[in-house]
Amino acid sequence: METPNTTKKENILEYFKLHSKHLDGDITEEDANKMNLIKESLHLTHNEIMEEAEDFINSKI
Amino acid sequence: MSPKYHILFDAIDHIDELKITDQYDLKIIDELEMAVGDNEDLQELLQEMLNACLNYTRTVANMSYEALLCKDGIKSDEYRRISEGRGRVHNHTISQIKIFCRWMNKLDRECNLTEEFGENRAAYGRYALKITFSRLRRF
Repeated sequence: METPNTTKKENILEYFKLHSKHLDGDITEEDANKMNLIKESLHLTHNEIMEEAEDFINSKI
Repeated sequence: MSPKYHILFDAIDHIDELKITDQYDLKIIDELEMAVGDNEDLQELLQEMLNACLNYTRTVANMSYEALLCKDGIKSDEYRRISEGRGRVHNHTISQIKIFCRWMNKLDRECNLTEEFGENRAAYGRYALKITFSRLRRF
């Protein structure tokens, strides 16, 4: 069963994947809108999401 | 600034949140670029290393994402596919870091990453993440 915590992590990873498109230079308006929606749903700032993404991905190494 | 970034910045609310804050170790990229200087071969090797680090970080993120989607501990085909490729991506990242460091030393630039990490594969992985997130925090 999907828990709220799982959904949060999915969203954080999705946000990271979208934001990482910056580094390829292929970010789109649709991506940016998705990022905004995720940010709003999580009630976190950009920096807070990126911190959580880094911690979570780091824990998987 | 690329027009694509303008699209993003226009679309994202609370743009102040994207500003770099002191709490992050942002100097890591600046220091690498400064050490490389205007040597085109080193610039190319640095870019290849950064790309490998990004690819590795994405692979771990994708694998973690797929793991979250797996229900009742049953791994999806996509999870298995990414998981099988992860080792290769990790090896490539380690190779790129080692090549970059070797050439830096060869051209009398300081780079002690390989000495520092030794054969610790996880250390290379953590460095790849650190590099990638430092780059992302520049935006």
